[in-house]
Amino acid sequence: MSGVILNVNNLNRSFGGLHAVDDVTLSVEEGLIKSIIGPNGAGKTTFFNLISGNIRPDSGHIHFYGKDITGLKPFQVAALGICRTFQNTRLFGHMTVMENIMVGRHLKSRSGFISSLLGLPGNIREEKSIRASVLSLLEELNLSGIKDELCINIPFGLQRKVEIARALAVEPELLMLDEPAAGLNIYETTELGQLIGKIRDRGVTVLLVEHDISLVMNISDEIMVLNQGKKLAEGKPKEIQKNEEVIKVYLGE
Amino acid sequence: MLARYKPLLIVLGIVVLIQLLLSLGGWEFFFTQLIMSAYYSLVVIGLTLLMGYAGQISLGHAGFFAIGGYTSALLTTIDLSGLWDKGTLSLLSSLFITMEQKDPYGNIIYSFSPWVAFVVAILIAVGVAFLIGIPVLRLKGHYLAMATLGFGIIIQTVLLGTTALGAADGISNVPDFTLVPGIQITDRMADRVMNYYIAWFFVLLGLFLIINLLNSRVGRALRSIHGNEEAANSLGINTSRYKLYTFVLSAVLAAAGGVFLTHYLGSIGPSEAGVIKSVRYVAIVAVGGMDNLFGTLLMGNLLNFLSLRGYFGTFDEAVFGIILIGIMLFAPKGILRIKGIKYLSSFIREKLAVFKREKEK
Ligand SMILES: Nc1ncnc2c1ncn2[C@@H]1O[C@H](COP(=O)(O)OP(=O)(O)O)[C@@H](O)[C@H]1O
Ligand SMILES: [Mg+2]
Repeated sequence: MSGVILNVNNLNRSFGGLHAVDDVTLSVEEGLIKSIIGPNGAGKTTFFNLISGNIRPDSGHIHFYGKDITGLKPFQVAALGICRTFQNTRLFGHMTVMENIMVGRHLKSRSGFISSLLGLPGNIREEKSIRASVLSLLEELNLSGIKDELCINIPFGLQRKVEIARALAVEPELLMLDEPAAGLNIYETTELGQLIGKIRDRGVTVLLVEHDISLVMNISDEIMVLNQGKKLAEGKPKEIQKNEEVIKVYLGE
Repeated sequence: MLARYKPLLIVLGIVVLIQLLLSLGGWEFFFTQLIMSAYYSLVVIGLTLLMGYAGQISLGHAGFFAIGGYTSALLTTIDLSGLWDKGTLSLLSSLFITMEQKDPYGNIIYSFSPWVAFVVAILIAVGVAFLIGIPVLRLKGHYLAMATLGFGIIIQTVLLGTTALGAADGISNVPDFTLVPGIQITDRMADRVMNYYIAWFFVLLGLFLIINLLNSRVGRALRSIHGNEEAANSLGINTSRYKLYTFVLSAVLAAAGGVFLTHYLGSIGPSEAGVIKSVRYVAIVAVGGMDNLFGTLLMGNLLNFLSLRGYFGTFDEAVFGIILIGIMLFAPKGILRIKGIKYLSSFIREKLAVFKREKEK
């Protein structure tokens, strides 16, 4: 059995009187696809935001590979190896597909402000290697054909894919996807399922928030169910499918 | 690989062409305003980087211009004889730290040399930009606009209220700036053409740095912050640090413009720090197309030149306000991208391509 990559303990976050994340404890094992499901407003995105550092918890702790990352800024969390996508895609619309993904290489390159200003040779070499690695990622994901398109100009399904590609360029240990199938057609959803499987097979742990239940049941190793901010159930897809409480609040709706 | 520097060669070509045209045509009196416009465009290109690429507004950049100009003006005009004795001063002069010159009454005085003043001016601009930038860049949109506006107002108020800085009169009798022996920033008639090229040398240097930056990892990070700050941050970009550095860089460019122009004109006054000036810079960046370095460069030089020649008459200040409002309402991407002009330029490009193809046959 492999180790635990992410440990969340008694995490809490309220907005005014609303307890969006209510004492959630979760651990994610390395190399698995773990999904979080739950009705709209259950607190899934908030839970993601807490882990990625986009918002701070009221109480509770988050450990990544045993290191306390509670309250770190998003860029610090990313630097440790956690990368996420957003429920409403957040691409850099006026940059090309290629450039978007090149931004994903930020952490894997190091040219600083001054050396960039001066255009030092080391910089130019690094720029070349960024290009090369992005080109091969584009090739691998079948995105080469649109690499020079501005992101505002590409169809929604591809935007989702580009956002995942950008996150992969970061080479995270843990990839968090927030409803990546939302707005995709059935073919795109199937392709997405395969892609997520491939990502896991590469050794990247995936934390997935998703509404498409059949997708979740198909690809997840484990599932956690959230309802009104609270953890309702956790287990293998088969167990979740049989869990009566889950059926009542979620699958039955 | 060097394709990115091609625009610099084009700019240089145009600069040379204009010089030849004016010199041969006997219109040398235009040089003064062209030189001034060039120095102002140092502010413009820095602000373009900040606004157009990093997506942060500043309505206080005239303040940085003034910090540069006033620091240099003060240090190169103060009398240091009270501070050190004659021997020390002449020793410092031989080290190019101080400089012997005549004050307005004909007495010999020692002041700091322009290069020392330049370095100090830039350091002060860097310091102030950090101090202001750290709290202010947390703000967004119009809050940021107001905070930077406030900064500009404070600088101008301080200048107006400080007698040592000449209060409402500013500082005059600022000496020429000898860059290297034989080449100095001066408004002497005989050195007009040389000064035109000196000014453009600095502008091209600034452009060179910005082009490098934009074509790098850092430049991409800046544009990504403009695109979506939260996403940029989630990809590991320390967005507040990059915004701050860009703010500082644009402040340095503005301050450098202030130093050079002050030595060129031999004086500086508090109006250089004014809100009107800051609005003017923002209007120029907007009309040039925000994220279009050469568009803003062109507009900056054109509009400043027309303004300095007095072609806008009594409407001079209103012109820039009207431009700003007009651009925001009708052409938020700058006039170089208005449909008609875009159409025209693609039409010309098409015709040229056809022409080329026929020639090749
Ligand atoms: N920034 C916020 N301010 C106030 N309320 C919020 C904020 N973010 C989320 N909420 C609320 O928290 C609850 C959980 O939201 P969210 O995490 O987006 O749910 P999910 O992603 O499961 O649909 C919702 O009721 C939502 O309105
Ligand atoms: Mg959500």
